Amino acid sequence: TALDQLKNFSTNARSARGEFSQAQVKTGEKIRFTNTTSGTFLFSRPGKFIWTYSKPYEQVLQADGTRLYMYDKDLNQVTIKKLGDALGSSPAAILFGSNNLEKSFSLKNIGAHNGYEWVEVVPKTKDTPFEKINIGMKDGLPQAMELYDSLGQLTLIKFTKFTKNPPVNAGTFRFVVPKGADVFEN
Amino acid sequence: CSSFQSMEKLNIFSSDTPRSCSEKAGVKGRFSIHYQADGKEESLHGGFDWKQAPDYTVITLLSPLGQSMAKIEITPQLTTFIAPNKAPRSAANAEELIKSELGWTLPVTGLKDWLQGCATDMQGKPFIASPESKQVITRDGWQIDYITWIEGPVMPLPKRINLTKGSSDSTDVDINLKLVIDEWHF
Repeated sequence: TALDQLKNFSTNARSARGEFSQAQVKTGEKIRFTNTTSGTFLFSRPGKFIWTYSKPYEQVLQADGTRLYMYDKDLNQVTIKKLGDALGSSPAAILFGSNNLEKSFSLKNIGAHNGYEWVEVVPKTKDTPFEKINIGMKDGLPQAMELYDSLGQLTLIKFTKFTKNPPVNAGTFRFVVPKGADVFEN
Repeated sequence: CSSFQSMEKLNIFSSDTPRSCSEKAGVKGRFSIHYQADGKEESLHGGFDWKQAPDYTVITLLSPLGQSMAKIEITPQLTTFIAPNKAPRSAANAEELIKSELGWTLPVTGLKDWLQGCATDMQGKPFIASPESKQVITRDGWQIDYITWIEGPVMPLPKRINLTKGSSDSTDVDINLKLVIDEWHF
């Protein structure tokens, strides 16, 4: 089932890399895809990932295990936060965090649609913008995510070229502040 | 409504008449804010979806991954602040309500004109920004720098805007708001 695939993935995928495309959809109104963005991701459990938007603008969300770095090229800005509260119950935590999912999420198989088997993931804590996150599994890998927030915003993420356990050297996740960028640290 | 490329004709007649800011506008982009709240430095990074009209303005603040962090609905009589997992709060004054909810002042009333490059300067005179005249200090003490511009169908439109409260040389700049605009809809 999808849940078995997700649990399997959480335990035996030490790291992964691939590409993603992301679209915002306003629920309620007719489904309308707005500002789609795309880029690449790389993660290494627990708590290290690089989520890079390359189109239509350049933005990097990077976690080195202790801090979360957000860099926006147009704004020439790096914002640094402690990873603990930032990772919390974000999609990154589900895919890239520690592999004990049951601790912070309740998980349920909800059957198939769009060609994948889906798990519904509901954060147990209340201090998260998410109402629920659906993860579409196929061939043992996450293929898509549907992020429902509590104010009617739906974010669809599609993964491609998903490579499990690629070789990753530790230095990869060390964040280097781009020259001349302003840095704000919380 | 239409995306940036296929914007409807603006009601501005010829390109050499000074810019007149339209009351109805849709703006999507990203922001980074750095402010001091009770002595502590705070910073926040995310996206914004801004739709303004004379009788109803709605602003959605989004997390880097696209989840709604807050939704602010403004009518001439009342402003309502909606955040995930919290009861909506309303008040007559938009800026005060936002400050009490977010901890920083988003000058929404001013931004209705400032986003498009119109403002009232310190001497109460109307100021119209252009690639040749990029800076103004508004009557209520915001310094606005229109750093970069993009080609609009009728006249250039701001792309990167910096807003700081208080003069730039005072050390205790309590708010530094950086905006980059990705989409204009008129």
